[in-house]
Amino acid sequence: MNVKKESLRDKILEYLSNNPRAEVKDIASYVKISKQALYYHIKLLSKHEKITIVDTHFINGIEKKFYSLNIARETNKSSKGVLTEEEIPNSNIVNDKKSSPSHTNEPIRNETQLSLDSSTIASTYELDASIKPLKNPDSALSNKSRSKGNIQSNDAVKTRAITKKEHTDLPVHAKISLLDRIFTIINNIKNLGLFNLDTYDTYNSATLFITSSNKKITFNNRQRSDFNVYISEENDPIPEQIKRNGRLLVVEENFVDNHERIIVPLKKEKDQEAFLKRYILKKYNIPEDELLYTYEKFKANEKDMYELNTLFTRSKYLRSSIEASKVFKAKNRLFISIAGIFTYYNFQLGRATRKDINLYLYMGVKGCELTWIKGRRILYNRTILISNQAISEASYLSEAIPSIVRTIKVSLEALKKDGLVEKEPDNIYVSGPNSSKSIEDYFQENYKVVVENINVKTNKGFNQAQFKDLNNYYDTSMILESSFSRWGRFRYVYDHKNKLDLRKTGMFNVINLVMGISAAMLILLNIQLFEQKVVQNYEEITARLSAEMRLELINNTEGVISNRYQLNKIDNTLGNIKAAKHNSIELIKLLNSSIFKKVDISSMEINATDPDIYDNKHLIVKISGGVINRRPEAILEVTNIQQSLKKIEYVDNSVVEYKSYQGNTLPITITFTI
Amino acid sequence: MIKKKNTKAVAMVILIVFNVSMIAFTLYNLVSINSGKKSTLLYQSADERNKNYYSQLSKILDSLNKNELQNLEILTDYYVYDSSIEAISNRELFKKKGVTLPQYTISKELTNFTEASVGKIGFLQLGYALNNRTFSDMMIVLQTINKNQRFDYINQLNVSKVKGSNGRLNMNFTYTNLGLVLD
Repeated sequence: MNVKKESLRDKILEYLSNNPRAEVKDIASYVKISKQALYYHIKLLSKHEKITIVDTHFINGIEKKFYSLNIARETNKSSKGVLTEEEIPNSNIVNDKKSSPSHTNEPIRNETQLSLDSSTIASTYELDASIKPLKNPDSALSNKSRSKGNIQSNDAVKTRAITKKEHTDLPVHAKISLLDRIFTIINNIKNLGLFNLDTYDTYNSATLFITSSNKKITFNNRQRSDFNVYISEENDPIPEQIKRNGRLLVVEENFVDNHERIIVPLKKEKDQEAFLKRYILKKYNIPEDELLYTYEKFKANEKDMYELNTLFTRSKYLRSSIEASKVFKAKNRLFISIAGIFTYYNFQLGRATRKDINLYLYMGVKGCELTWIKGRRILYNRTILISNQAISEASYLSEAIPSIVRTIKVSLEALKKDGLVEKEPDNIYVSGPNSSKSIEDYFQENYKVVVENINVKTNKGFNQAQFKDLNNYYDTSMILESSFSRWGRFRYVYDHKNKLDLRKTGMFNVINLVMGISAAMLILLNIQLFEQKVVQNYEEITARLSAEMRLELINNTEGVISNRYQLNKIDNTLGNIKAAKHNSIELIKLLNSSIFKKVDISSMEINATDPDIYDNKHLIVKISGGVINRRPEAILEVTNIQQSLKKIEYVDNSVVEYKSYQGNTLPITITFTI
Repeated sequence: MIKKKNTKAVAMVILIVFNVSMIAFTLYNLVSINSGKKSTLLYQSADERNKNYYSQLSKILDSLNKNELQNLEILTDYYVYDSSIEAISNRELFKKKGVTLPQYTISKELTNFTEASVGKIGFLQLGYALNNRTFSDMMIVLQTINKNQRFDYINQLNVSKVKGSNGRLNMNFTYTNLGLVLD
């Protein structure tokens, strides 16, 4: 086993010697093991200064670390070889299995059953003033550095602490800057909280955290750079900045609730609620009027079966929270347990980690909360009471660790039995006022998984006075705030009816938001369309007027043409009348010409049309007479007359007819127009 | 713990109604723009066709305008009166030329038959029967009318020889005079 590990670390060092600036994923692909497993070795090599972080980058709020060989160390090591398993020290926590309080020796289930009335214990709890500050040197240096709005690991915070020091002297009562609010919105959009209206709530939500010693820690959830935490004693007034918030999230450290997963074939919500209520009342023997519960529905592995994942408690456990929250003006008060908060935190780890099974340990002053979470689903939750009063760190560790280990073992077996977990948890996250580097190291070495202390370390310089006896709670407040940075859906909020109402309100809010946006867009679109319509109307009117004007013009022109045509006709007729007068003289001349010399004209008839007939006023001439003494040439003469008339230009339609001789005369009739 | 947000529901209903009405208005605008475009195109294409027709009409009008209407201009100087006045005028005119006109008949009394820019235009027709006259009398009648600047003419003439009269003629004619008519 050791040979394998040595060979693996050899490979890591070999890769880093060739690639002086490498990411964990690069190393993982080279050594062909998972990133999760590799972190353990990387951490050990870092700890022993074999390798070092040479650069960090933030991409979408996630810190990327670049590792390299520690050259100074490497040059000296030469013959030392690779770090062996023996060189890696065990946890500095002594796995002390000696005396523990009697209740920790009891079965874990009994420790946390609701039948245990912890109110008496809680009321007698006082914070141990002798609690020493965390030994972790990082805590002093680290900065909350949350401008990206993502939860950071300790190392990430360490890196950024240096660059964020300039914010340490900000005044406590400074207003939230517009930039901060915009940043919050952008951040939340990045986290795909786009359709969650609470995402856009930049200042209207606050958190009240009631410690085991009944002190009240309050803060605005949506503050970014000027994150201020206010601490009040049990009867102290709450700052106005917090009280004016419209929504209050209440978390109590001493709050006790229980967790159950029930598989049912019930699809309807009402049936599920009724069943769940009956189930809890019967199994836990809680009076109906005292039961408070909330549940989330998940699809079970079996077809048409549903898992009702419930947290429930007695109303008396919530009484102190309700009492404490009464001084707030907030309309909406949401009560949630620490286990519920961890589901929010876990959900925010990102899409890639949704299938990971994570174990959350809340190290409280008087007790621990152990919660297994997958995605946004609580798999297992137990509260472990450590002591009725605050104790020293060493005592706390010696009491807490064995109980936690036992509970992990029991819970793991139960989860394996249910087919929910196959192996150890993928990650262990530690938080709470009593979380420490020692605890982190202990679990890392004993469970061979990545253990992360998710308490967000901040520089407390500006309001250290507030935290002189509650310094660890500041980090706890931060983790609460981080969890609430993406609110919505209201999972595991007490009680169920309140949660459903909140969801309904949230749904209305989202619909109203979408409707508001679409209304704005439609207004803009309609303005655009209306402009187009106005332009189109103008074009249409112009085209219509143009066409109508053209028609009018055509009508007028047609009228003018008709009138002009009439005038032309009259004018022509007048001209023709003059011509007709002239033609009558021409006719007499023609009759006196040689053509008619041999014709004895007996009568002549001339006709022309009336003036109201618009023609050329030709004269229609009909001459009656005869050719005398020309027999038999008279017919020939008639032919000559006819041919002669046809030759005359101004004579048309000439016809010469003759009848049979009457004695010496050949009667003829001549007609023509002139 | 949380009261039902009736105001939010009311706001939602209002927003939904507003959005629906805005969508309806959007559709109305779109349809209106579309029909407006179609109508504009229709007007434009009709106007284009009418434009071509108008250009042809213009050409026709131009060609009509080339006629200077000189006769109508001259007509403004000539009036036609009722039959009695016209008959006296004719009698006196032909008397001067040495032709005595007999009693006239009214073939057509003065009537307006059209109206031009210069005024109402009318004509009358008087019938005369000249018996046993010489050829020169006929020629005087024709020449007199011919030389007359007025818009008058003989629209019907019957001439026949008087048998055994050595060239005497019987002549019937209808005298037509055209001119402006006084109101």
